[in-house]
Amino acid sequence: MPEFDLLIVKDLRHLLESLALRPDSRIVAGATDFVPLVGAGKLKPSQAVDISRLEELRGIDNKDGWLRIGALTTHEEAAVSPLVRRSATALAEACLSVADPHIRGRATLGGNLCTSSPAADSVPAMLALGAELRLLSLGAERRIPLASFLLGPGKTALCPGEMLAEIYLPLSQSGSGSAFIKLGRRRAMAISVANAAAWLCLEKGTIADVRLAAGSVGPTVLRCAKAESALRGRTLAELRSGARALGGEEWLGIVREDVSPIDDVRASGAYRKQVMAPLAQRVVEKAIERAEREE
Amino acid sequence: MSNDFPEVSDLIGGRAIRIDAREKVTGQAQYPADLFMPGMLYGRVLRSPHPHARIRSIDLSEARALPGVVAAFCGDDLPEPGLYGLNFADQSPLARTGGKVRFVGDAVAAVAAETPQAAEAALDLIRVDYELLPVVSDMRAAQLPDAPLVHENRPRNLLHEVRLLHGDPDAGFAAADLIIEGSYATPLVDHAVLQPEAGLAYIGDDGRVNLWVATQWSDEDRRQIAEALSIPKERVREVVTAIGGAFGRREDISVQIVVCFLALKTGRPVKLVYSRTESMLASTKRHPFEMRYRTGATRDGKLTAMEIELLANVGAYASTSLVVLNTAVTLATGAYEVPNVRVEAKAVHTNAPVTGAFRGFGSNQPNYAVEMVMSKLADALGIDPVELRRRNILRTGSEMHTGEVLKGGVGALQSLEAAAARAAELGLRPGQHKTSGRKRIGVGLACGCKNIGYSLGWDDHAGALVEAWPDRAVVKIGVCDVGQGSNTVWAQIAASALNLPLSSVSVARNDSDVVPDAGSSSASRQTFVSGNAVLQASLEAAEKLGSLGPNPPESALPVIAQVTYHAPKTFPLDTKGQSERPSFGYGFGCQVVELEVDQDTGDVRVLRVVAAHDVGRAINMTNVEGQIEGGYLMSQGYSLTEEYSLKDGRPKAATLAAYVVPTALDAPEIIPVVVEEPDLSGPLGAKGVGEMTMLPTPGAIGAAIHDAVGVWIDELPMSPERILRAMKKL
Amino acid sequence: MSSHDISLTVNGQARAATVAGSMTLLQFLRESLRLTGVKDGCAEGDCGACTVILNGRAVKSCLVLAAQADGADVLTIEGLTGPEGALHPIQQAFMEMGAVQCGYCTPGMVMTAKALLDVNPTPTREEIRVAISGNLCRCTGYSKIVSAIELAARRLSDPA
Repeated sequence: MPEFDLLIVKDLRHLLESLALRPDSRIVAGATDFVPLVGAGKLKPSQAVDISRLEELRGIDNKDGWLRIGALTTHEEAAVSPLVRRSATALAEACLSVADPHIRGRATLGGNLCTSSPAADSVPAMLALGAELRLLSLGAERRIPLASFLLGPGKTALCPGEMLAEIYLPLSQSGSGSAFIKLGRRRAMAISVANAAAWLCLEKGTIADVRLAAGSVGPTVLRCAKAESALRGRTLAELRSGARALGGEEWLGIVREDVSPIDDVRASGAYRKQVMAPLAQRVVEKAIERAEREE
Repeated sequence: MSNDFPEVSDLIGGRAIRIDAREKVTGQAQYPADLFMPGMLYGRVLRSPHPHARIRSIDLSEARALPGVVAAFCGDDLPEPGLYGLNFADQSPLARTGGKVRFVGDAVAAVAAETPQAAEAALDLIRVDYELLPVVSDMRAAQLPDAPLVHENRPRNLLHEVRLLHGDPDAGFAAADLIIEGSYATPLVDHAVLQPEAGLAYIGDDGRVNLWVATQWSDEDRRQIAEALSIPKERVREVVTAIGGAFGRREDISVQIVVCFLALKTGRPVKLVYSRTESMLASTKRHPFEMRYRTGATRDGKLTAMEIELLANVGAYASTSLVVLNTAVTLATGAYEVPNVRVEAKAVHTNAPVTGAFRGFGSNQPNYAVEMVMSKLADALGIDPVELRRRNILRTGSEMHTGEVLKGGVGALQSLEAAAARAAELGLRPGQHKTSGRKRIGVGLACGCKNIGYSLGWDDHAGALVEAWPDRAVVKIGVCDVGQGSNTVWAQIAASALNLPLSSVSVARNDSDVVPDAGSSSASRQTFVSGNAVLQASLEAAEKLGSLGPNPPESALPVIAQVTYHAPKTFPLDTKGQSERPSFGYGFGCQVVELEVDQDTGDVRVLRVVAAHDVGRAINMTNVEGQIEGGYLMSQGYSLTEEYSLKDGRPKAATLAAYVVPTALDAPEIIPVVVEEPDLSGPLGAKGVGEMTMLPTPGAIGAAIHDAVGVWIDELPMSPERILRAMKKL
Repeated sequence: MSSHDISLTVNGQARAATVAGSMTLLQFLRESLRLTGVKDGCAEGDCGACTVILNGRAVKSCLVLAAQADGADVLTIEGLTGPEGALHPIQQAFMEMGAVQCGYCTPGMVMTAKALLDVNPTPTREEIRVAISGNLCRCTGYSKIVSAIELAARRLSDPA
């Protein structure tokens, strides 16, 4: 592997000071993206900063009506956390679908967000769940919606000297449910060909609110805005049969309009566009099932 | 060999634990990258990023000046002509000024440095001036008169052509009630062995070069090293280490010539280890085939004629493409008797990676096509797929399309019946139309036939030496145990013949100074050829021991028996593709696959597989099952997900992330059925099994997909996209 | 380039070393400590041949920076074998069930099995498959590996 300088920081202050000093540093924790990228010459960090020892960036708990997840939370921790499984089911499912157990035990949610791959699995779940991110720099902090954070493949809204500290998900309300679905070329160690996450809230048999996020079908994980609009205010009966049904050509066609996938080594854009629709249908159906149980 | 097989001991056919398993489970087994020597240097190779280019200049000066770098070379530093290759020498270990690189990954230059980091950094400092040349990327375009030449010292890109004519195909088609035609295609695939190529070379006190390497063919390595470096073969000693999988990939030269060259030039030990990406770029692949099959059958399902076109992609260098094409022709009709056959086969160079030996060796591709044809015929004629095959399958006395009349050891029908019976017991039958949510379940069956041994006139032989004492024995034989368990089989055979416990028999390390040559671990030949050599040598040793009486003097021990066993003679194909005996034996198999297809995404998941394979006789039942299970899964990957894609000669990706091999979650429950139809010439009736287990799979999966969703997929891999397209959902 | 002093326990032995920042744990184990039972199959996290147990969890050592292992407890295949070569039941089961062919994936598989059985002593076959889903094998089709881990689990929970 090409050589690089490594700085191991002991606490948050040390980290923020180091970042202020060398804003071009690359943060590393689980290193599960970092090592392959550096090994392949796709990432050439002048300095890597290891933050894996910062305990203050770990932990999952309730805070002020939000589910707070530290950036160093691993996919494994999120997948087994009772809080996440109940309140952010889509995220638990997404985390369980990533790579394999060895990697899930090391790869962090913060790292997944900062790598900003359009094929990331935890990202659509967090987007559908309405995640906000707390970003810290020396002497400053801000909190932004996840949608504003993802700017493109490998690009985030992090300013020089800034790092991602925490993820906030709204706590679940009654009548809500979420789900995640992934299509890969094999059943483990698979980068998504297409994936989707849905969160919705039911009120008296009607979809009061819904968020549908899709991955691997655009330059970033995206929200299927038209598909969401077509669902808001619909009754469950309408969604189960008739022209506006989830399985009907009308809604499936709207989903396809929302996505603009490219060809790559895993699949063609045409294939992704085609399968996004049944995947969206299935993930919304599962979210409804879960929401009904919570109503 | 006599017809009756003595039950020499219950070791044969049992589940003896592999004699090398302990060192592998403790991590003590040494593969080449695990070796270190004092003063050792690390070698690395610079490879071409271009599919086709002439080398205007190579400047090694900056690389040589880097601290830690001891030496750097290119092809100009090699003796002339300095070429290597299995069928003929057309490949240079390193590129020369004015020479060409012919595929992405072709070797250009090599360095030796004190540390792996310095060696890697040195590669970036080698300045190569490439003149890009037009890329030959399509096999048909490559045959046009104005096509750029991959090898300019030859008139065309066509490397090899074989024609076969048997019977009267026109009359055969005229007699058919149904004729079906179809085109089939298979991709470039990679062996994806777990252990990347590696070797360590050093100069011994006697000035000879010593090479420790994972290979399939020690004697051939030495011959090619000697020829390329213009040294006598005796000056090269090769010791075979533990081998991390082969499947054909280690038949060709990889590290051997370059690492020996670096050791000779620096005078120091040099270890050369490929990275995974380098391994994927540089090493051989399976030949892509484009095939066309026209088949005639009566309404009762009897095959009357086949007209076959095979087009194989040789890639940049010949490797074993001549023999692969010959093999494809001899097995072009699969496991069936077809009275009238015409075959036209061609192997053509392109600027693609070198295609060479890969488990099946040119038989997998035609077998896939034949089995798709059989399944389509069954469907069109309304005949049960098992019954259709039963009516045409090879039996003792069958005449193959090469003219060979099969004399015995034909377990084709037995494999078919065994697979069908076991599948029936498990409720696996096509036509059930079961669904599970949006998934449709399908069941498909296919057979396969693979030759055993080098075949086609090659003098297939192996030498074995057995040293025996009353209480122990040592087997010395130049076989590379690539993971199939051959070492254990020799120990079992020797222990049986000498009436010793298995633990008292050891197998010597494969050191060319010590053991006789036994040929390559390929062509499913080792159990048959080397097994016979070991059996004969062991029986001879037992006889010698016996004649010494109950208290033999120390001076008479050990008794030594050395035998060179020559397999039954075979004959090459004549100008019409006919031969009275292309191979001395064949293995047969039949697989039944149950899978589910997602109707909306085309995603396929295999649920259960029954795999019945005729092995003559299983010497080690666990080993045979292991070949069936492993061969099936490797072929599942070939059928469903694996593809080393090129765009204009450039690989889209060369990593194990992008090259999709099955994980434990993709593997179904595999039910192996071992069929034993003894081959009278085999040791104790045994044949071979290594390659056979891959053959039926693509056809079985293709039939199962059709059973599930009603479409035929005539191209591998049978990807979700291809399935959706065939279902007109894309 | 940065260098880091690390102290860690490897196979029960205290080890101290100075490592480059970019050195991976895999490189450290194989090249610095010559624990060549830990295999390099890809160095990119795609094959699992490099699996070791780090602080009780199975990890791909090619994805851990050596400097990150400071203070850690590492177990490799060499540490699983007992004194005088006594085999761990998992190693024994692999041998008996024919789960070893070429052997290159074996150390990684065995360590993954060890980590699994330490937290889940009675896994189902499906749970075993999930546990080894990050360990590629090209030889066995995984069948006998799953059976070996099942056998080892039975023996470990009922030594009688």
